[in-house]
Amino acid sequence: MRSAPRRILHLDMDAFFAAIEQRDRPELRGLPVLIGGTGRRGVVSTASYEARPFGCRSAMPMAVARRLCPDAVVLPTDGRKYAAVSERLFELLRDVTPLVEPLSVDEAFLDVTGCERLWGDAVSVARKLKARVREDLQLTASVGVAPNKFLAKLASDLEKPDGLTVIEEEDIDRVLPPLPVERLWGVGPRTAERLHAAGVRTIGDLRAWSVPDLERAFGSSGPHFARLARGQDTRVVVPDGRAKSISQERTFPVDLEDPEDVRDVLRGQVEDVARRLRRAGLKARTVGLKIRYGQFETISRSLTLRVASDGTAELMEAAFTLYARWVRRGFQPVRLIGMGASQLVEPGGEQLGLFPEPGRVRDARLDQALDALKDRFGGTVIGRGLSPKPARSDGEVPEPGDPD
Amino acid sequence: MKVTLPTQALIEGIGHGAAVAASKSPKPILECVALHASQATGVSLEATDLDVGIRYQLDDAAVAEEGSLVVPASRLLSIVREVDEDETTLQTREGNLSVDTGRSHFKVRGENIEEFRRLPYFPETAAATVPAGLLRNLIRRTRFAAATEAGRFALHGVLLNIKGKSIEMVATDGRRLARAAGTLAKKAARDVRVIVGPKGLGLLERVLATSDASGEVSVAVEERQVLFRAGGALVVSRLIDGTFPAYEDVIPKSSKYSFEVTTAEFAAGLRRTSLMTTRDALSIEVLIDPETLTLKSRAVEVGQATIEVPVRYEGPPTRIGFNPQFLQDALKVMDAAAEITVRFTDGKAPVTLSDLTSDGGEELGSYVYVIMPVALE
Repeated sequence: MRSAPRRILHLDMDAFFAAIEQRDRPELRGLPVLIGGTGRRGVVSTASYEARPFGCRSAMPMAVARRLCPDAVVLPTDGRKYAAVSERLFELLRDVTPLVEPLSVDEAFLDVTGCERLWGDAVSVARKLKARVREDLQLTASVGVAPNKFLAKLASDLEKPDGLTVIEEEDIDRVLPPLPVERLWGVGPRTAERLHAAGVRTIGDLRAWSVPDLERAFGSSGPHFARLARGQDTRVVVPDGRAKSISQERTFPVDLEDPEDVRDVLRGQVEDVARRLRRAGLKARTVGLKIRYGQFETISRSLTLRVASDGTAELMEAAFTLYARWVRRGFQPVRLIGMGASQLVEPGGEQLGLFPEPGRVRDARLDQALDALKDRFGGTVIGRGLSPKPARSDGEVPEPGDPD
Repeated sequence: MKVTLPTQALIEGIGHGAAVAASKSPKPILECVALHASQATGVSLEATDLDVGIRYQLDDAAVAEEGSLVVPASRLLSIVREVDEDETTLQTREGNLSVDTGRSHFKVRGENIEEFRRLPYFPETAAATVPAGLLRNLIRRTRFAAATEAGRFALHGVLLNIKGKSIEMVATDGRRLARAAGTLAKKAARDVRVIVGPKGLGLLERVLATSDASGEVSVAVEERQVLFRAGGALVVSRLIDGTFPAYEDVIPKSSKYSFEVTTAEFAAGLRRTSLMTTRDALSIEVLIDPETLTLKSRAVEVGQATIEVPVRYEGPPTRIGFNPQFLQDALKVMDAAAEITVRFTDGKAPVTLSDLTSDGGEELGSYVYVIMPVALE
């Protein structure tokens, strides 16, 4: 039996550094902005879209870019600031799936195969991600959706900026042939030169070659080019290490005045985070709680579990313990509540216990049963006793997946 | 107070006291040893951290002047270690201690003796008497398996169970369990079933190691404390409250398969395998095949190790994951030159290690160590 086609996303931020500066300094909006080394040998790391019609590109000497666009605003790279935005970006991505492979600070692959029931189909995930990037970061991203990494990356580049491009299996023969061979993964300037010399300028040209001929001309890369030219790529999305944490938070339009209401939201968050842990096959050693209250005071508290867990009941107990401690010290109306699971470990390598823990086994069965129901009927179908409507607002928890 | 004692014996005695005294306490008195000198009873030393205490008789003391003294234990120990002569004289002057050796003169500020919590005296009748060598082995072979922190059960203590002529000690941290048992020459006057903290037992083991092992240890329980008297030493340990888990149920009555392996060879194999484990990738894989045990470890960032150990085994190939430390801990207290028997069923059931002769004799008693595997998938 053939396995279901993969659904790969490639997300690429638009003019990342420049866009961050334009976001933070409204007076720069609409102006050509160059970010990079401002010294004599400086190189452009990002050119805003306004600077691009002048021919300004990244990796170009800053002096050249300035000549091309004398009116451009030139700013030094603020690495720390961009890193913080990048970190937040990857948090957003890992909210969707732990299968996130970063390519750089502003670019990543996501494997969302099988996420339909939880998040909707790949195109809805792409739409939601773009929306969250816009709302949370006030930036735009271009996303490509395709059955593999090569096509997804190709797709994200086709309609920049703020694009959402889907390449399906049936689009391959239409989309690929007219594109220049430089678009193929692994074709750099030198290989391109050799291909051009051999009369190969487009992917279509390359397709006319037989695999043995390609192998003779380009060695072991030959068959690789042949596969890519036909839109085939079996590389898997390799997460960068493991996801460091899985978390969820929610800001309320009006501060919540009742500790019980906050607790109810927290309950929904724990259920969701625990479920995502189980889906990712991970267990958490640490449970964290974040509360913003009063005049934007924010506290973060965490608790380390005796044994790493993916059980809703155990994570709930930890989260409620932290919450109760905060409430005891004096409750104040809450603007934001969030909880997260961190110090994630993969199962296997789990030390078994000598003494039976009937509670844990029963809880695990309950989790399994609830997960199965939610997968089948969507997130709203059932909750634990007292579980309120799932925490949902601001697109933080998506609508239940489309029924089959 | 003015006493003269053999320096070596003094170092040993204060060493016991320093092992008990708190190393850093908001109450300085708990960091101290108390010395008592009288013509009638000689010189004794006391130290306590309120959980564990020791009273220790210092032999061959010459008491020139009776009296008492309380000084910080570790400081006194460091000073006495500097003494060059075979004998050391301790003398109090206005509540402070003076120690003179050659051209060095030490004066140590004494603490108020009224604040020092005196230890109880051993009651007139003991609940039981246990051969010192046996008791020491029971402690040595179980204590390490206790949990290091307080948990749901009283797992951070060691169960001491004396019933009639049988004595056993059991310790478990919930993932492995050690049980050592022996037989008493004389039936216990009263049965004892208490949970003792590892610090108190460690102290007792230490005292027994330096004293005459052929002697007897008297055991008594009073006011939530257990008292052990061995010759001139008294060790007192506050009991741990709580229920010891039903350990009998988790020692497998039977296992499907077993192999025999030389303790030293198994230990060496584990040591080599552990070279390739890290804190994140602690577990090892043990492949049991006829004639060969293969130990494998793999830590992605470090590398891997594959070690083979000869065994006697005639069952189906089996794969079990372990925390190697748990195995090493047990092998350390088993006879290195002898063979042990490892019994197992599969990768999910408890595995037992025991001396090949299930009874190691009067001195050693019988021993079984139960260890839960690490799930490999």
